Amino acid sequence: MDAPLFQRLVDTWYDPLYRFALSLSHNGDEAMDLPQQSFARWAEKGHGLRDRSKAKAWLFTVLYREFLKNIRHNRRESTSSDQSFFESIPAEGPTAAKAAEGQEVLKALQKIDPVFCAPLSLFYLESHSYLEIAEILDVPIGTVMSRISRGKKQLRAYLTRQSNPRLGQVIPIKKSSGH
Amino acid sequence: MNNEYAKAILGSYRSNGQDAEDPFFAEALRQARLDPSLKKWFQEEQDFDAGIARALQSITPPADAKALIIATASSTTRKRRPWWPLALAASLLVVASVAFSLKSRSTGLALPAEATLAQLATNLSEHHASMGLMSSDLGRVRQWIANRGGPLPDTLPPKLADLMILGCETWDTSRGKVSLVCFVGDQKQMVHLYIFENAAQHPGLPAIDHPQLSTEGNWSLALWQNHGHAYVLGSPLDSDLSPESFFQS
Repeated sequence: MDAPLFQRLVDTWYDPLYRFALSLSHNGDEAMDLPQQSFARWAEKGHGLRDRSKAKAWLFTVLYREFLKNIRHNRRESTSSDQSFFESIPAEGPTAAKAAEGQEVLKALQKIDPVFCAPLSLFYLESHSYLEIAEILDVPIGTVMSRISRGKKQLRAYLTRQSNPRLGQVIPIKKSSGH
Repeated sequence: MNNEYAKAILGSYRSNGQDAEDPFFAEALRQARLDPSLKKWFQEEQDFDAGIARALQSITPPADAKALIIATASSTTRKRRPWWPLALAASLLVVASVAFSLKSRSTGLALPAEATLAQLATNLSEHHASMGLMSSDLGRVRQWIANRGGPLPDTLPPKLADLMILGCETWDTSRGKVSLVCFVGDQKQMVHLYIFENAAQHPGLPAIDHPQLSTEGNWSLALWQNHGHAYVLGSPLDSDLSPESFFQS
């Protein structure tokens, strides 16, 4: 294994991989395990990748496939998320507002249709072009663009409802009296 | 290009500007500059995207995660070797695995029947190196071992708890169940703690406060028993983290 390269890859890509894992799994333990599995696979097989510029996509692809494999094995349900973990996520810097924003976005990603979650998370990590996202998820470019677009709509709708909980609710009309 | 089509394209344009040179977006970007309603939509979209991206990037992973990965990789990967010994080993492995599966069907992992505790630990370390769980969280490690019915570590040497945990493994062996908890020092030195379920198989072991110190092959070891389990703490002979050092106050 090329140790300096490995160290560079961990330094550069661990944080985005962790965020991607967390947005997919909504589970703190799994979000720790998935990047570890990606890097362990790299340590074992990464030397076979001749084009080192593909390392980023390689790591994300492995993580995504491991996540799918976990779903199949665990037959997870959407209710398995770790809410207490979301509440304990630390934020960069001292501002609680930042932490709250991060938690809110993670919760929102949990609420949207799961098929939109992976492309949208990769899009918002901003490390991947639409072409790379298509490659990582192994879907056509048009599908990626469509899923990002539809995912954003759901995300925006959820966040709007959260910021104004009365939106979308049926508000009972008071009965008029005296008639 | 109508505005709806331009919106479909611009929806995948990253707000940090990394796609600015991508010709795929050029025509839609040009139209957004010229058409006021599309321009307004695009600006709002970019503001929304920037906010979400910023929020996502405010999530900070656990502080020791990177160190754990680097330590694990450097301690478990081996240098690449020429292909032909591997091919030879693979063909021998087929024969050996058939023999092993026949032998181990009823007993699990076959360990030498007459081996001492020190020999059993070094045998596992050198021939059955694996880690079923990689985690620095002792609670998770204990839970993982417990779920598999492996013997759990109880009282640890005083200074061992200062090291970072790398992960753990359990085996069903012909000498009973065995668990392993791996630790790593600041300089990536590996320290292995083996827990054997039945201390009665290894009579004469001292208590934890007076461990038996020895060497076996390339390993420095400390052995003791506690609450019915036999323990072996091992580190490579050339390591500056000797097992003895974890018992010194």
